[in-house]
Amino acid sequence: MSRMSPSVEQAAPSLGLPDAASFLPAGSRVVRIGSLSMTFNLHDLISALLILLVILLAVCASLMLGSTHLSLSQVWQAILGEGSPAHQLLTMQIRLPRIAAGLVVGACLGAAGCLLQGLARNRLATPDILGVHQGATLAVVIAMLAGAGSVLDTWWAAIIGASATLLGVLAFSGRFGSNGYRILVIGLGLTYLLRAMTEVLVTYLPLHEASAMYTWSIGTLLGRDYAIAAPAFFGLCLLLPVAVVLARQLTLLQFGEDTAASLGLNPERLKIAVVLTVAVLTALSVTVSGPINFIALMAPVTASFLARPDQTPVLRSTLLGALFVIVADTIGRIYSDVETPMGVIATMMGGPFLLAVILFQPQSRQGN
Amino acid sequence: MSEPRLAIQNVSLSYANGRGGKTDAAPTVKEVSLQARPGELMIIVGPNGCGKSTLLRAVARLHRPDSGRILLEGEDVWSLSRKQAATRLALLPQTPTAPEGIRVADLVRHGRHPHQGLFRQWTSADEDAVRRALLATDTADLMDAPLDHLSGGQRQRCWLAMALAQETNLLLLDEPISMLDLGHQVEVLNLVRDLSAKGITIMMVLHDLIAAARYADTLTAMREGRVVASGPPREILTRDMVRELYNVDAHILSDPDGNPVVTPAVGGALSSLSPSNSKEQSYV
Repeated sequence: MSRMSPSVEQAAPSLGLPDAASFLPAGSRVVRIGSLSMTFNLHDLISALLILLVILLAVCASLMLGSTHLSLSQVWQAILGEGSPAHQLLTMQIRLPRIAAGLVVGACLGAAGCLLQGLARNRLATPDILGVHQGATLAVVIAMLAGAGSVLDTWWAAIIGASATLLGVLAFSGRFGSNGYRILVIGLGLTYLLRAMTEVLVTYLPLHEASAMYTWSIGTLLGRDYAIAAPAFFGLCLLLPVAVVLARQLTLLQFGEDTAASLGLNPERLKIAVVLTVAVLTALSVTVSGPINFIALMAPVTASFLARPDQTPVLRSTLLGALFVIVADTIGRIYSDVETPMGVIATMMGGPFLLAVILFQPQSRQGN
Repeated sequence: MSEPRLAIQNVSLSYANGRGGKTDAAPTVKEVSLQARPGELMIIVGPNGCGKSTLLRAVARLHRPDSGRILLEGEDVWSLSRKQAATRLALLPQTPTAPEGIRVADLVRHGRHPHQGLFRQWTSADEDAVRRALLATDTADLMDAPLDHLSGGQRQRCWLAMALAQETNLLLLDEPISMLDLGHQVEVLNLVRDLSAKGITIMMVLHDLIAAARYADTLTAMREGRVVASGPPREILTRDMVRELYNVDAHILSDPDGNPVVTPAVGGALSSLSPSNSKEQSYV
């Protein structure tokens, strides 16, 4: 019990086999300084760096491609403030801000989806499927009707709407995570209810606002810039460390609430913390781009392929969310002469992905 | 005589005040008082809904008693923080769940959680505890295997290893053998007895009266939330007690080691027997 040798590691295996090194997953390293001991995992680190590399490639592609194709050197010159003014304008004023907004949106969705899937222990339990997007949208419409300004001024309303929706789902479905598809059915019902209410209310908006509202509600990054993405970016910076801590605790919740509680966790408090974090992250993404579906599903599921079974890979899911949004937006810009909203592309990617998840996951994982 | 490791003092509780839709068959615990020494193996038996699992969950701090106190080494378990409590008592629930494909070593490692923190993630004390847990449960050679590839008995030993890695003096087991065949039941029960012999106090809920009588230091019989009898199996396991608990007429035999064996008399169900009271019989 109370044998604590705070500093030195690599003590000889005093109790014989098994070797302590193999208690930790492959690739794990322990750093012990005094009474501090931290672990990290090389495999996790490498997979995160690989995702970052792919994001970098996607960002380059996104800067080059579009109505006017630029070469990589033209992009580079524009970033350095050289080259033709038109290219500088295109790169620095239009494409780069838009990419930044997209990265923030995707990161928020990736983190939110990963946390919510972990909490519900259900891969289909993502903010868009549970109606959080719709709740945020409805709240934005109500705020606009109340004269709070245009679509993009009402980010605070989206946070309220998203939180209320998720707390509603939690209240109606009773215990999160222990009842399989119940939470999905309730989320689905709520989604339709909220959508209907939104559509009724939109008819009360002035025509130009209703039209802006409609475009926004499909989900697009058109015309988004740093100013719009800033609140979401700051929110993301604040919430990402929280998400990492919550993800560690969600891992314990996978052993069931009773076991988690007997390991010292407070499941009720964790649920509330996760719900609020997810709601704020989702709402922040909605305020920037409008509701984007399926990113919050694809990112954590893909991340879980890269992670170990007992991990809640929130950081890699965050990165993958950012990647998927940039890819979807770039495809939407080059797909045809008229720009296709990013939300449409995300849905086109996500629909088949969702089917694949349902069709190819092992039987035993379904329902829970 | 030193103080008991676990003292349950006049504990009453009912589910009625709990949330969630579990209020129906509200199993309750009424004015239960029990004590357990260090290294004692206490097995609680009784018909369905007698409150034995509820009592176990109260000791595990999953339900707060309406009245009475639960003392662990003289301290009220509810006065401890969650993490403190988790270093002093461990629970193996009836149907634990694990992420699909998890490695045994990773499962056991998570048992160290109450001893860890953000800047205390993996100490040599953690290594020693996991090693001891694996050795004690004879699961060291299963360490790299995925949990879901193992047999029921092996899996249960791994779950016990996770609880042992918590390094607690009190271990609470809720029907750890209910899903296992005879061979695996014996495998797990022998391990449980070994653990108690090492000084861990164990409180275990069991359905199987024969196994309970075979392994218990103290057999505690509950009915309708109350303790009917508690003591060494040879003293308390009587024909009257079985009738009182299960409404069944039974013979109490003696096995060659002198342990009591319960076998229902043929046609021994009493006429007033309600069907629900008899469905748990597994005496062969």
